[in-house]
Amino acid sequence: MNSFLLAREWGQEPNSSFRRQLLQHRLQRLALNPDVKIKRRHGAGILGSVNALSIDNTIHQLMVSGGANSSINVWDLQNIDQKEDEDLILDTLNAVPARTSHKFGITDLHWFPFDNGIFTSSSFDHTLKVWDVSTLQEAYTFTMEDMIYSHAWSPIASHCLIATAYRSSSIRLCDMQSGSYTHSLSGHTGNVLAVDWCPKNEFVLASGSADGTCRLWDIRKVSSSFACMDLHNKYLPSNQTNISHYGTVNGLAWTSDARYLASCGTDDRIRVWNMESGRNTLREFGPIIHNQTTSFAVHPCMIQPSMDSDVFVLFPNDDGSLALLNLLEGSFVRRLSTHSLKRINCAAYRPDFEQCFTGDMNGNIYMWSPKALKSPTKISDLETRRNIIQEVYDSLINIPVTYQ
Amino acid sequence: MTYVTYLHKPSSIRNAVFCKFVNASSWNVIVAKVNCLEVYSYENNRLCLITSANIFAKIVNVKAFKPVSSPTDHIIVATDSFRYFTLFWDANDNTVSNGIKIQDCSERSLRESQSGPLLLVDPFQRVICLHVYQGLLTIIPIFKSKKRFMTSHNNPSLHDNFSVRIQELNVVDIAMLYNSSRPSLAVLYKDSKSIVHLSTYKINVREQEIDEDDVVCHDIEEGKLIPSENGGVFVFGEMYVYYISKDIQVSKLLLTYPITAFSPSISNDPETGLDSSIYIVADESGMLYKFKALFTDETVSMELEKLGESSIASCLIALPDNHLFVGSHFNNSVLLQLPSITKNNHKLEILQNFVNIAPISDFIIDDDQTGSSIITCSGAYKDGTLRIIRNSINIENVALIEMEGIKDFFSVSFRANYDNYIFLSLICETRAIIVSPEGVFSANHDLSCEESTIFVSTIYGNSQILQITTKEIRLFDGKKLHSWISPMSITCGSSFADNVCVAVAGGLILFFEGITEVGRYQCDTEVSSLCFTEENVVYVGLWSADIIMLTYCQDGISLTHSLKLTDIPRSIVYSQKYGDDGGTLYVSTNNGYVLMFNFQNGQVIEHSLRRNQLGVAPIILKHFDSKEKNAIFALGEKPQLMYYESDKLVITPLSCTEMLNISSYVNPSLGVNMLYCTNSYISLAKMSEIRSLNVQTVSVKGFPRRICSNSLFYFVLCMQLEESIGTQEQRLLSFLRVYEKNTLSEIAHHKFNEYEMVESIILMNDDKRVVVGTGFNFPDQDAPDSGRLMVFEMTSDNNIEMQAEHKVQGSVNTLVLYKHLIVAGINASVCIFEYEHGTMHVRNSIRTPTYTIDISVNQDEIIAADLMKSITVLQFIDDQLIEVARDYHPLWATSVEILSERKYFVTEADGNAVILLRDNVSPQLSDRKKLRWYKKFYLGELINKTRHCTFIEPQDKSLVTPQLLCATVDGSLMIVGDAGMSNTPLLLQLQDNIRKVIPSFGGLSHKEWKEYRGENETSPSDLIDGSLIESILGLREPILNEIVNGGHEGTKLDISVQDLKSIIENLEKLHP
Repeated sequence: MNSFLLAREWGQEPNSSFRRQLLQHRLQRLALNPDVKIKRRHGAGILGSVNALSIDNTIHQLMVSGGANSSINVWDLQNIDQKEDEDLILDTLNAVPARTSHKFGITDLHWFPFDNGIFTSSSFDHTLKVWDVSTLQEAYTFTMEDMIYSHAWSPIASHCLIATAYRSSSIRLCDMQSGSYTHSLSGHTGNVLAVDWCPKNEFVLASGSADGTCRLWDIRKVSSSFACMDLHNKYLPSNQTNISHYGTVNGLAWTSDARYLASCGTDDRIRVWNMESGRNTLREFGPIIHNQTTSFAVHPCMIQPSMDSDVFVLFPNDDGSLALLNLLEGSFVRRLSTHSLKRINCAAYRPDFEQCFTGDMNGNIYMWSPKALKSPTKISDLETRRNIIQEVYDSLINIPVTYQ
Repeated sequence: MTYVTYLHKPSSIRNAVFCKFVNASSWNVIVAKVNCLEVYSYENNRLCLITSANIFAKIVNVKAFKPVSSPTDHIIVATDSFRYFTLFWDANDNTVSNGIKIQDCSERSLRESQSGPLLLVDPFQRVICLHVYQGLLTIIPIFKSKKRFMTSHNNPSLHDNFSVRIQELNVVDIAMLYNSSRPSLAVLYKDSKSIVHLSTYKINVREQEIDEDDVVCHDIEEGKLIPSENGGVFVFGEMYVYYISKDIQVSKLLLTYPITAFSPSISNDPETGLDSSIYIVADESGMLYKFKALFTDETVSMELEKLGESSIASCLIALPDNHLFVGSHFNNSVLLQLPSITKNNHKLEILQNFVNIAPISDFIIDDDQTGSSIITCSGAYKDGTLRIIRNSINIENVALIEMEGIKDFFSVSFRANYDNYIFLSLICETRAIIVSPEGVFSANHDLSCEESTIFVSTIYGNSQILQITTKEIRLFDGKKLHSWISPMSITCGSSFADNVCVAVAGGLILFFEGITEVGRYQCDTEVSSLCFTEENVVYVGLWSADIIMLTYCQDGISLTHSLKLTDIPRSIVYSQKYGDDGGTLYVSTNNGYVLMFNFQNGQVIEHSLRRNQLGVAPIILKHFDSKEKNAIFALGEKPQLMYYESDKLVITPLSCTEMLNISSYVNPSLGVNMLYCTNSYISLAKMSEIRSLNVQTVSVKGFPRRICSNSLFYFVLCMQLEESIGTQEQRLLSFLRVYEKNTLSEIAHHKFNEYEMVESIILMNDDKRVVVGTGFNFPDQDAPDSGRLMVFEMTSDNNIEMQAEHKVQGSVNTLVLYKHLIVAGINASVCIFEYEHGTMHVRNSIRTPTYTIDISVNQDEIIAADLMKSITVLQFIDDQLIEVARDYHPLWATSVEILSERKYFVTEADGNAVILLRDNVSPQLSDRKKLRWYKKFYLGELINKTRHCTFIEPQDKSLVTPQLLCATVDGSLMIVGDAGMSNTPLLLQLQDNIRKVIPSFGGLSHKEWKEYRGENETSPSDLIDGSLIESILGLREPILNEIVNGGHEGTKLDISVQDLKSIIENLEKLHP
């Protein structure tokens, strides 16, 4: 560290390379933060599980969590920043109690990309609700025919379309401006579990389905998808009969430069697709992925600590651990474990703060942050240490020595 | 509003080109310094600055190319943010003009190349190649046809660029090869397993394509590429030099150090007289080599010949006549004469020095009697130096005469309108020299003698020379010598008009008219000095620590006055104020003080005594005769000049430091006004009338990192790289070195442990002890987990002694004094220590976000700057360290300083600066705990240290109050000031008008250049750029008129052109 600082002091290394390396290094040091405890607010028992988490995209200060008991909590993360040292128990800022609005469990939560006043929630109760954060009142409800697995906002679009994946083989687009459905995209042969918008082109949508395919859609065209990924790289992506995963595709995420798409499936694989050629990059992360969920979408949490750094994926595993993967290198970096064998359902990354939040089946929300280098010296520590040594010494000199 | 200007402009040179820029018949060297291009002409073995151009962007590379249609070379400048433009010399206007305006080739989605931006020009002038992103080459074809040049006016030299993909992502270096058929490239790159390969490409300009060529080489070393005229390429790796071409695959030569810079060979021009098969190369240790490759049919033999050591080079330019320009980032840039066998010199000789103080790691301001000086820790590796920057009077040597053993000298004007006689007084010899009007020196044997001379002047209305030696008083009328031989040895003497006065051993003072004795006075003790002034008054300094004033008149000699001193007077000079009947008597004492008594009508004005300590040894005082100033030289350990400027005594240092004696010497035909000598030579020199910034270099073993000072010493934390012969590994060693302020010599040092890096030092309140903080950097650790705090004190026998040691769990990155406590930034914490009874105690500590980099304190706040998480405001109340407020933005701080109450100035690693505000009266807790961004702007350079200080005292009517001084990696010192509420609107409008009226180089926008640059967005800057406003002073009246009247849709200002000029002059006074 200090030799890096010396090189920077001399103007030999630009700060950008130092920043990239340090941020990557810190990401690899992610660990459970023992000082921050987040209160359990999603009920007890089997329905106490946390199903979805989302952190707002503007100032990265508000987080919403949704539980299997249909409750939604809003958390102010600034409280964590302000009292990071002492043992902090973070309590909810505002909450929608269970069964007051949604009837069944929450499946997905997303903030409106352009301000932190609105978020949307989808649920097993067939509804997608739009929330006003300041009052925590539902502003609008879209009702589908069946339970909704996940939904997605476009991070760049001028249109206000929410793509929803519900228990059907088509994707429905809900228009926030008119409050109605514009159209559906059909072409999958199984239930669609995951959807994600392309971060560079507002009309391109990616979807993953139980038929084992991962497709790309141009929403302006009513026809079938324009690409279907082939895991063998044997056929062109335009071939509609390609297979992307041996099993249900239950999660999708784009990299921020829209050059790669990561998909995960119940075949315990994460595949990385090159979005220029549409081909499988054949990245292999090994046997640490455990992913059998089909009840809602599992979002691989895409992390890029700085503009020019590597892209990492934090993948919530079935066995209660998180897998940290380097997406483009195709390497497994670390396994982060909560030591409870219950599944982690969701993970969210808080940019600029290097914090990660996870929600699991036990109903706990944990905060992960880079391990501090060294805790500061406290007088009390020094004194207690001194006393212990004194005690040991005292005990030793008071032992009567006997010779036989 | 914040006002920023340069005290010292950036001086680090990273790029330079050699081309025919100004005209087709002479050569120019163009150097790039951060955001400034300087055009030098190369003539008479010197580089002379022709012009400089301020670019509103950071220059990353500059290259020359020659469009067919143009008689001269154009230059292409690549800037940060992935843009380029071209410039050429407009012969009609005699200025640098814009060729192609800024071309943006940025693409946000691509990743920047790890090797940094590369800019290359085809040796056959067909294309220019730019590599900034991984896997992407931007090709810019150079215009070929003359016809099209006539028609397209706005795009005369280059075609539009196009981009091609290459497969190599991790490029180490690229070179353009000598291939006459098609422009070709060699790419040195690393694959995913970090193995280095070389591949080649051919560019197809017409099809805008790139084809792979068949020359490839695998498993070589990372390094630099140099194209060879024979079509191949040299790879200067870490261990070997390889030669790779179609015919010859690999040839190797062992190297000692990796090559970092090389001179491009200029083979197309035989006029340069350079041998194109020879390259000058430099390595990391600053060693220069001559590299020669001899080609036979199948092999190539390479030869590397050591030339000598120089500054660590960032760029080299081979010049005709065996000269070499070395541009450096770490030390002064130099123009060298290379050794040549024919001329029979084997050493590198420095012909010209270009001062560079980059990179500045730390600095302090040292205020003493002679004004402020800035001491910087500059340089790195072997080129570490301390630089002492003073606002001093510059002395320029005109002629040097090598001569040793000179004690004193005198010059006199004898029947001439200039000083035509010089007397050199040696220990037991005097040599007289006659200077002819043409400046030819010849010895005069009549006046030379076997004794040393004490005093020389002319008497009898300039008709005779009076010379007082230790034995006699001699009068010389041009032909004959008359003398009076003293019975005892003469200790001092002086004269006024025709009256002469000498003191001989035994304390006897004799008065003469010519050489006729007219009176005598016996003192109680020996005479140490005397000074004969007007009205026949003699001031005599006695060894009994008295000064007596003797008046000589027809009736005899009377003691009119006496002054009792505490110290023994050693040198006395009386200076009359012009147009006043009073005067000042300057007395230097044996312990380095200069006392000043003001006289009025022969009486001491009461309470007029002033004491100034100028050194520790006795100081020689001498008159300096000048038309404008009635000044006095004071020569102690360092030479100084004392004079009155509007009734205020000014003591300024002189830029030359190793003087033994000094005298004024008037000779207008030679352009000199003073004479000084050192151990080895006498110099005829010109002293300038105005003060300017002068940089003195003190070389340091290793490189300095931190500095602090007390009244006597500089305490410098140094490190040095040492190579162990056995393991061939480099180790960093740390030292605390103590330098005496007056002599600037190292008098003591302390060596720290192995792997221990010195990080911080402060002086404690008692002005004696210093506290040093270190951290252990073991090679297998990411961050230090242990360190030490140590207290040192100078002992009476000039040794440095450790008094206390305290182990801490991390590296002590920064230390400051807070009241009587020591605040230390240790890894991710801030700790407060107290030093009591020889031990350190922890008083309290608090955790900070990631890594504490810098701390600043005032009465009740402690501000900690974090490596990546901006700043935290802490308070120490009732023995508790608590966090009061914090900024939650990710900001990579490098230094912090408190600007004013609750305003904090933070500098960022990408060159931004932010002023943060703490709202401590807000009714809401969350507002009080959160710092607000008040102002943000871009400064352009990474700032290593910010300190509160004013180097030059602001004048009463100054528009801007200077507040902070920032030192940067590129060797600039920036003044950050406040323009005040009333001046801000005018200055802002003026800045806006200048932006609109003055065309910028490359069409770059100054407004954009100063914008704050975040990772994802830029935002307008709140800043008045002093260097922009000052740049218009030299412009012609019509342009100034346009600025005042708001041309190009600007706002009309309420001032006249004359007002504008006085505003700028006012602003310019902030810095010399």
